[in-house]
Amino acid sequence: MSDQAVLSPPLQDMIQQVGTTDIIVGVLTLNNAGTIEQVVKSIVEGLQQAFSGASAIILNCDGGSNDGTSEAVSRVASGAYPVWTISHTGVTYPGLAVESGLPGREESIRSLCTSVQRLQAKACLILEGNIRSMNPCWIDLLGKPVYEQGEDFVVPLYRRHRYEGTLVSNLLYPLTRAMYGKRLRYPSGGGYGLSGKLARELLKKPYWSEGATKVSLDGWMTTVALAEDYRVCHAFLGVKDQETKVGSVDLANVLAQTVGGILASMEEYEAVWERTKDTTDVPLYGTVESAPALIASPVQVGRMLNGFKQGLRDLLPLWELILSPDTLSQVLPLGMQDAEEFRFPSDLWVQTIYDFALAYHDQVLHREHLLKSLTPLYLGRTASFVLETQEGDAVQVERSVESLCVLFEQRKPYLVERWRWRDE
Amino acid sequence: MSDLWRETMVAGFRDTVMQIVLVLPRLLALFTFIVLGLLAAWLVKMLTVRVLRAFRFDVFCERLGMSQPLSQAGIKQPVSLVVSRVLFWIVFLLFTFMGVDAVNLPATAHLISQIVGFLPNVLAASLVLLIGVLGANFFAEAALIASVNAQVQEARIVAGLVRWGILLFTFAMVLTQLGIAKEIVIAAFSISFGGVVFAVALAVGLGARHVMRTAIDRRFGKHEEKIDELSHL
Repeated sequence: MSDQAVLSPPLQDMIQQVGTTDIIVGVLTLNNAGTIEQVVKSIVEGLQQAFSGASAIILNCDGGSNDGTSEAVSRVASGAYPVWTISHTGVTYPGLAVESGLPGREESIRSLCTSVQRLQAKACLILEGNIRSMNPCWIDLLGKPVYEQGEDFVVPLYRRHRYEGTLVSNLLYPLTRAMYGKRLRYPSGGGYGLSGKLARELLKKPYWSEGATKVSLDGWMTTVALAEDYRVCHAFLGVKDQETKVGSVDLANVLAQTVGGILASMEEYEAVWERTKDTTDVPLYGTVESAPALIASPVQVGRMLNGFKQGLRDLLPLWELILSPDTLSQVLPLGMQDAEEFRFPSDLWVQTIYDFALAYHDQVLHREHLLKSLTPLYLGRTASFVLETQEGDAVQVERSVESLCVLFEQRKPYLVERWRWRDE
Repeated sequence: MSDLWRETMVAGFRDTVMQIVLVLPRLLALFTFIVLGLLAAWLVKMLTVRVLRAFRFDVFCERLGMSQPLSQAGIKQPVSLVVSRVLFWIVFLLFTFMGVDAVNLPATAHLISQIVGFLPNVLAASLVLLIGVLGANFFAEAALIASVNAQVQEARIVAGLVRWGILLFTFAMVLTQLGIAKEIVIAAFSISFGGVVFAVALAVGLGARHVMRTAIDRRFGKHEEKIDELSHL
């Protein structure tokens, strides 16, 4: 699909009139009348405080609001900055995005990147319209690293409960870190800062026509930035208080999209991750607050263990095709453990993930089936993770995550040797 | 009298010998066809195995999920070997039928033409069977994984129902294609399928009223705030 098809004719006319701009702030919305005023006020104040000498445009990418959200955006920002609205009611990509559950997310971000390219913007900020905790500092923290410090991709870091983001802590972060050598603690965050250079590069990728319905957009953007050696950093934004997600995406689909994205990228960036040996920290902008632990809902370990044991019982014929005999022989006895003493060892988890990566590479099963069959194993690992760390605090949890990351890096030769052997 | 007897004996002997002499070449032809058939079939089998292995056909079939149903059916050999054996028997039977045709028995007259005329139906039925088996395997696997992830305890039953439902439909289509008891198959399938659908509709309608009401309310009514027990991302 060309630029002309991505942007509507009225928008193309406005772009032609404006010519260029320094910053584009994209606001993704769908029926966010309750929060959008605060969000837009924060954006306007943030731009005025941090980028007073720069030109900026607010681009509202709306998924079909019928509660006056788009009108509220125009009303609050009018006079301060131009506001353009792109409506994505007839979405091209039917799958729901995992990050926000927002329909039309892929369309919105593609439109933003296209606008960045056409307007030759230096920086693009992507924000969600349902964030209750947004404040003007976010604009500074997401925008300045790109606009002034030369960073290409700013990923937000939030203050979270120790068990929030268990998929990230146990799988996405350690795997991405081992593959691409960057310690990006939370590889995706729902909102971002992008440089014009990265936005233009993302537009050239075949993702928009091939992968948009299958893999997580956020994970894919992060992987491209890491694998192609763009400057990636974190910005600490504090607490993320978000209104309920519009759509719910179940865990199996979350796994299929997020893990599938990383495994698919491993096919493309084989030459990069095979030679990556060491890992380095990424720059962090903003001051990390040390604050009391946030209260979260209790974790239902029992339900997760039931899920794991059922997987062991019913999905064993599939796991026999995916896991190596050594890995399977270690997974089987886990079903006999009592609930309180259940432990899914970290090194076994690493081996399991690498076996899944190899099975994905070999296509031993339909890939989506393969990814979704990982769900019970992930539940088992998460239950074990919670049981191991429930007596400790957030610091202990981070230490546990760090140990897991080191194991992923140490066991990487296991993956590399078998990957190459299968290719020969 | 004795001359007549002698002539009858000679004539009878001569006729019999003539018939044997006439039949012998045909029997020899049959025997030759069988031997040639064995040789040709063995050659075809050997070539097929080599060609399929050169093109990594077994790996391809494993990825398509064809190896698993064969394995479950008790066929542990690679698919390339199974295909080569099927071709062996096809070639051998073809030569055998040629030999039987050469014997020129009234009962087997035009046997080859009848078999050749039936082949398109067999090929179409084989294709339908292959697609049906692959489809049954795929959808059963999808149903199993979805049910396990939803922690439905009867996941394997669900997967089995999906698999056998599709296979039943496939077998009905194959038998119809081959023209075997067409009317009975159609009637039996229609009755069974209709009965199952009716039973499921009744069960869902009576047993899931509350669930359906909740689902409709959720779809068309106000969205209630849902607190996830754990945020995975």
